[in-house]
Amino acid sequence: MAEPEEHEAIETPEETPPLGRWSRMYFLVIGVLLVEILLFFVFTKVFE
Amino acid sequence: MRTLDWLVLVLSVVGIVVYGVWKGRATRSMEGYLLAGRSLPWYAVALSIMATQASAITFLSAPGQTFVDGMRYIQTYLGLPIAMVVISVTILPVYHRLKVFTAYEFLESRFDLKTRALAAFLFLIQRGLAAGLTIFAPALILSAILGWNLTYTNLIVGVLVIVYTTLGGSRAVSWTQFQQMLVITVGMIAAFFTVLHLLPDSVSLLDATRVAGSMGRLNVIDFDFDITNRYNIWTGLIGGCFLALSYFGTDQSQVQRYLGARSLGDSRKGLLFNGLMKIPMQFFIFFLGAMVFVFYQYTPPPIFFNQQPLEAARSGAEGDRLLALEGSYVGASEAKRIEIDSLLAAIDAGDAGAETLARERVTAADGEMSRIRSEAIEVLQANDPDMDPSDTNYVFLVFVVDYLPVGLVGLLIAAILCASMSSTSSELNALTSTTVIDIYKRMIKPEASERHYLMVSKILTVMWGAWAITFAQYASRLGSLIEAVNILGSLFYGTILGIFVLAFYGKRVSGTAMFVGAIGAEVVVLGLFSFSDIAWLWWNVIGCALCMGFALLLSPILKSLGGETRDAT
Repeated sequence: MAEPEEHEAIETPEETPPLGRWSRMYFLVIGVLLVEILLFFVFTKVFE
Repeated sequence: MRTLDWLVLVLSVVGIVVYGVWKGRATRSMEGYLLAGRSLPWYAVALSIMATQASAITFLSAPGQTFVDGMRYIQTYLGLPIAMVVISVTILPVYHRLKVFTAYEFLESRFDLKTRALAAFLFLIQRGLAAGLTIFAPALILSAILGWNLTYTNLIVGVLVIVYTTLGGSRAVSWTQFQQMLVITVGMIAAFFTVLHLLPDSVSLLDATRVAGSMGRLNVIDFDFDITNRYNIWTGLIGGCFLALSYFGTDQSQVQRYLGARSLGDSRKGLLFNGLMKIPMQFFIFFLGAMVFVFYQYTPPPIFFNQQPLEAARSGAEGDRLLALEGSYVGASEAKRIEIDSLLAAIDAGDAGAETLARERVTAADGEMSRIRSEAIEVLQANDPDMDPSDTNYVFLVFVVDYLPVGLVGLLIAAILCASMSSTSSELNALTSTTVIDIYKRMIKPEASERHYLMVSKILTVMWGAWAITFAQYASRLGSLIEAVNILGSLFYGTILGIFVLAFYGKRVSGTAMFVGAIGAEVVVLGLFSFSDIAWLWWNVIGCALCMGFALLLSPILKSLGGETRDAT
C-alpha cells in the first residue's frame, strides 16, 4: 500500500463557523429530549 | 392471507420497486449513483435516515419486546438526539467541505491509507453480516407464521432490493425509502387503532394503559445504575449516545444518506429531524406492543407464539402433556382476566386497599401463567433441543395475522417487507460505495473512466446482494433480533468512533499509532463479548475509550523510536 504524497488541510472543529441560526435548532432538539425524559419518568411513576 | 391482502401486498411492494427503478433511470455518474447527485431535499434525507435505521426487525421485534419485557428498551434511544446535534456541529461540515464519497476517505487525509483501510474493512465486516440479517429476520418470521418458504422469501426480498438498488443507485434508494416510510407509518397507525378497537367495550385506552402499567409493561425509565443492566437511563444516554455517534457519524450506510443532500443545511435538517422524531416513533411502536399485551390479557394468547415448534411437540412424545398445559394456560388466562377486571373496578372506585389486593392477585395470576408457559417451553425443548426458546419476534405478527381485518394484514406485511427492503438497499448501496471508493478505486485501479467505476459499482451491488441472500439462508437462532443487530454493531462501533474522534481532535496522533491502537481496542472488545457480562451498550464506550487511549499512549512512544515522523495536520 502506497502512502499518499500530500495531505489536504483538514478543517478542524475549531475552524467551523459559529453555530449561528442553527443553535436554536440544537437547543430545540436537546430541550425536547429533556421534556421526553421528564414525561417518561412521570408516565412510569403514574402507571407503575 | 386472502385475495385482498395479496393485492395490497403485491401492489405496494412492486409499485415501490418500479418507482425506484424509474426514479434512478437517468443516473450516469458516480456521484449520481453513489450520492444521488447530491440533490436530495431535507425531508427526503430525514425519511431516508429513519428508514435505514428502522428495519423490519424494529417493527417485528419491538412490540414483542414490550410484550415480554416492557418498554424499557426505549432507553437505548435516549442518546440519539444528543448524537444528532454533535454530528451536525462537528462531523457534518467537514464531510461537506471535503466532498467525500465515504466517511473513510476522510481518515486517509487525516492519518494514512492503512487506517482508512482498517475502518473500511471493519465496516464491511459488520455491515456485510448485518445485511444478511436484515433480509433473514423478516423472512424467518413470515415463513414461520404464514407458511412461506424461507429460501424463496429470502430470495424474493433480496432480488427485489438488488433490482432497484443496482439500476437506480442512491437516488432510487432514498426516494423509495420515502414511499416505504409512508407505507410503514400508515400500517403501524392502522394496527394501533385496530388493537384499541379489539379491546372489550368496557376497557378504555386509559384502562388499557393502567393494566399494562400495573403488570410492569410501562417501565420506560429506570434511574438505577448497574453496569450489567442492559436498559437504564445511563446506558441509554451514555452508551446509546456513543452507539448513535458511531452509527450516524461513521457508518457509511447512514453517512451516505445525508451526503446525498443538496446542501449542508439539508443534511443538518435531516439529521435533526431524526433527533426529534426517533424517540416519539419508537415510543409509539413500543406502546403498540403494550396494547397488544393488554389485548392478550382479555383474549387467551397461544402458550408459545412460534407455532412451528408447538405443532411439532403436539405430535411428539410429550404431546398429551403439552395439550394439558395449553388447557391449564387458557384456564389461568381466564382467571387472570377476572382479577384484572377487579383491579380496574378498584381503581375506578378509588379504593386503595382493594387496589393493592387486586394488584397482588393479578401478579399471582400472571406468575401462574408464566410458570405454565415455562413448563411448556421445557416440553418444546425436550422435543427439539435446537429450538429457540424466545418467541419475542413472533408476537406482533401472530396478532396481525390472527386478528387484523382483511386488507390490513396485507398492508402490515407490506410495511414489514418495505422496512426490510429500505434498510437492505441502504446497506447494499453503502457496501458498494466503500468497496469501490475505499478499496477498488484507491488500491486496485486508481485510473479509470467514470463509466468503468459505474459498471463496477453495479456489479458490486449485485455481488453484495447475492452475499446478503446467501448469509440470510444460513443465519438462525439469534434470540431477539432487534438486539442481535445492535449487539453486532456494538462490537465494532466503539473502535471506529475512537478513530474518528482522534481524527478530529487528536492532532498529535500519528497514523501508525492510530492503526495499532484500533486493533488493540478491537481485540479487547471481542474479548469482553466472549468472556464478560458487561452490557453491550457499554462496549461502544469502552471500545472508543480504549482505541483513543492506546493511540494516545503509543503515538509519543513511536515518535521517540523514530518510527513516525509525520503529524497529519
